[in-house]
Amino acid sequence: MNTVILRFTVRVLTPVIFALSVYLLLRGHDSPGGGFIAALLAGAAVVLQHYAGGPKGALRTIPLSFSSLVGAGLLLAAGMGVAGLFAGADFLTGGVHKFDVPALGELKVTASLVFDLGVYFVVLAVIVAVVSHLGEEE
Amino acid sequence: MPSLLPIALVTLAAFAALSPLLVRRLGRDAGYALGAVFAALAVAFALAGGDVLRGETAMFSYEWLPAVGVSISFVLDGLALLFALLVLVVGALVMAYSARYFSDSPSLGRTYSLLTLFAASMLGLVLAGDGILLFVFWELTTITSFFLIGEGGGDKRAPATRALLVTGIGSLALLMSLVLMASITGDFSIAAMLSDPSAITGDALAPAIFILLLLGAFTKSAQVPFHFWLPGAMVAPTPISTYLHAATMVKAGIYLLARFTPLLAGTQWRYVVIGVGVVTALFGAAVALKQHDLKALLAYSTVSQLGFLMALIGIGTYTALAAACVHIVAHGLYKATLFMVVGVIDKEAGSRDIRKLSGLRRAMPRTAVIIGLAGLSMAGAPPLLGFISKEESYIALLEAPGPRSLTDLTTIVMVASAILTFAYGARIFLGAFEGPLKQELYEPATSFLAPAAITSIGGTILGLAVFLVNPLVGAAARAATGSGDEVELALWHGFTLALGLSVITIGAGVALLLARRRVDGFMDRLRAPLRGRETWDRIYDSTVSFGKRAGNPFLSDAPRLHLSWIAVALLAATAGAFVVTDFSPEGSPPSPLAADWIVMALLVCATAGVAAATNRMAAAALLGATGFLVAVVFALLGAPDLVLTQLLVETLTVVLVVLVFRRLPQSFHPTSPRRRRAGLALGSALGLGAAAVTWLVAGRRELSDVGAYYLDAGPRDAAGNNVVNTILVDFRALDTLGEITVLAMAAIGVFALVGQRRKPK
Repeated sequence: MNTVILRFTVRVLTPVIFALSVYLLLRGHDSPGGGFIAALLAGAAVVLQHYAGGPKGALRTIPLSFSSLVGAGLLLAAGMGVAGLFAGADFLTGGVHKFDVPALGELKVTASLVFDLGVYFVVLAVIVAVVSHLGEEE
Repeated sequence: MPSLLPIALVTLAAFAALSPLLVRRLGRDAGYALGAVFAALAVAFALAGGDVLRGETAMFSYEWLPAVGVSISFVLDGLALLFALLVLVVGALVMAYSARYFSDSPSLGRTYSLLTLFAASMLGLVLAGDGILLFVFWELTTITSFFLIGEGGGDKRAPATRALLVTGIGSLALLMSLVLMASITGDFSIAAMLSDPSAITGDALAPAIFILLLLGAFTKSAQVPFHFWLPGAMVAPTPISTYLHAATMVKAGIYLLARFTPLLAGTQWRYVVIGVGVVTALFGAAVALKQHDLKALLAYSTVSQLGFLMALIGIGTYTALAAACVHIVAHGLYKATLFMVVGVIDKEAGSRDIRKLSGLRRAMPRTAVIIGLAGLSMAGAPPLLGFISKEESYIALLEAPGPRSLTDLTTIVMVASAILTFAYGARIFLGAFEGPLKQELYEPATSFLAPAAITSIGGTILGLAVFLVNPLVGAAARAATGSGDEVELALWHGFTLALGLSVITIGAGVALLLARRRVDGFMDRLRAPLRGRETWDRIYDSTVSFGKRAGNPFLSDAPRLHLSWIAVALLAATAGAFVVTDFSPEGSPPSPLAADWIVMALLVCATAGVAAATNRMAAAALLGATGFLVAVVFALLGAPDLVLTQLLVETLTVVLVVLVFRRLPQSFHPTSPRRRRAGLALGSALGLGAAAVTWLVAGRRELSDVGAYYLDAGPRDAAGNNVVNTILVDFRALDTLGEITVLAMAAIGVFALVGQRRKPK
């Protein structure tokens, strides 16, 4: 499957898929999307990369290691929970902040977005781990 | 001074953590540094003890889990002070001894660390004023003991596991007992449990409470029939045996029952304690007399002495508790000496076998004096502390309340065990130190011998100047019994019955000694009808093999077997649900759309295709097709979140399945028609069951309360309109955190199983 056409397509598609994935992550709180789905979509990009260039290719174009993703994900999710404790609330209590951005209107930032980002990283990490290890050549 | 209690524990815990660093810097001499810490803490406790001896108690309390009545509370009264000083003083000497016993090695940091951690746990145990805290420290001593016995692995693993399991069962019994008591008093405060004994002894739960409490104490303090773990634990290095399995940890059960004296005193359960105690005392002493390995002899001697103490605690009077307390001090001193000297002999002469050792007195005169004094103290010879504790015990036995015949029997058995103690005590000395010298040996280094010398001479001085011990023992016995008596320990009480018993003990002991050959012959023929360790091992092995047999039907590498079990369980659950639940429809089912029929027809085709496929890749692709069709169903039902998830999961699943399948043969292994028919039947039954439940349940009831709450609270409390997402990241965020942790473990698992395997190439 390591063809010129596939490689070219993947090179064009990867940024698009990642952009879409980030979009799904950000809008997830109000519309269909969220960390889990967004990470699966990004995982699709990793898989495409794998088929286009093998595991080496995938890890070269997208510099992701599963261990740092796992660490970052769990830290973000648990850290968001602990931050709630410092704010005087219970573990994992969310919060919301609204900004008025000129020309764009109101921008809403929730603490659970940080948590969702943690979910995103961990789910992506699983896909990276499976693709890069199970996908290795004999 | 109340803050001393947590500070002492934190100090020990901190030094436990620092030990590896100390060892890196100082080598084995780190033992001296740690010993100095122990000694400093002992001095601090001694200074704080002045008030305690006057009858005050130092208390420290901090609310831990107020909702269930658990607090971090420490209490320093007379009993706690006695044990705390024992733990710290013996600890300091053992650490100093370790600095010469062990040779420099990188793993020494761990040993020191565990020893210090053990000291902290033991100190916490005797200071704990709260039941849960007591249990936590109790369990910590079990765990540190396990690691200290098992250090080095190999053949030490079995005895370490045996000790862990026996004492661990006791720990759980203790926990249950404490929980039951707390259910009566309302919280876990030990003071509250003891302040009104009738509330607990009069409760219907009392039998359970006492059986569990005694089980905890008997297992920890190696009482018959749970004694066998203690001699097994002697595979540990001598400093560890000295500290944990002679002087301190095994006395935790004694401490526990001494602490709960007010509860025991008024009940019949104390006769159980006395009975188990005297049987253990006699049994341990008799078996000790049979041993040739000095360390095994000392181990059985410890079992016997623990039984002796247990019986005294069972008597429960003020005098008995005072006798027990002074015996705890005496035993701690002489047994620590004996263990440490046996360790010295083992290192110098290369053997612990009494038949191989001989004439050590000629080569090691100082060592001989040290072990001689300790041995005489154990034998109960005047004017040593062991004599005083034994005579005080006789006084307590003679004064014991209860039916005359019972107390007389108790006294006779106790005297018999004391006679045997005299005999095996003398045997150590005569066997190893007298006779002709057979090897070239030298006196050990002063620094190696010094800790044993201190405990040995300590026991002698305290015997001669017994008035020094009076205040501490008195305060301890007062704290245990709650009475206001004073104790008068003395070398000379006049011509009393107790003195008579002491004379009989020593006389009969000497007689046994003179008839050594015949006694040995008799003891060699004696066999216990039931061997504790073997019985335990048989129970243990049959438990393990039962577990294996129970697990066997599910042990298979073939996924179809696992899947069948799940399918059968699911079918049974479905059938059960139909039996117990009324599934009569509440409303009319939603009418299907025309599109639904098309999707369903395609789904049936794809599923049949999966079942019929012989090529792996084709099966994987068709399975993916069923997944995408389900996504279409979700789309028709108007669930965009589900559609997205389903599509992505399905895509990735197919990709991952292909990644694995490309390593396998192209076609499935051919299977027998019978198995295929069975699979078809099971699969169809499962599918039909699921379809039936869905048909009967779906779309026929109103929105549930929980569902309504989430829909309503999402935008309001979590500022999000996507209810799936607000549930995942806000309302049930803790669940999600757990789930992503599982995912993280799965990723690490893949790495460990597949990634690591390739590394060596």
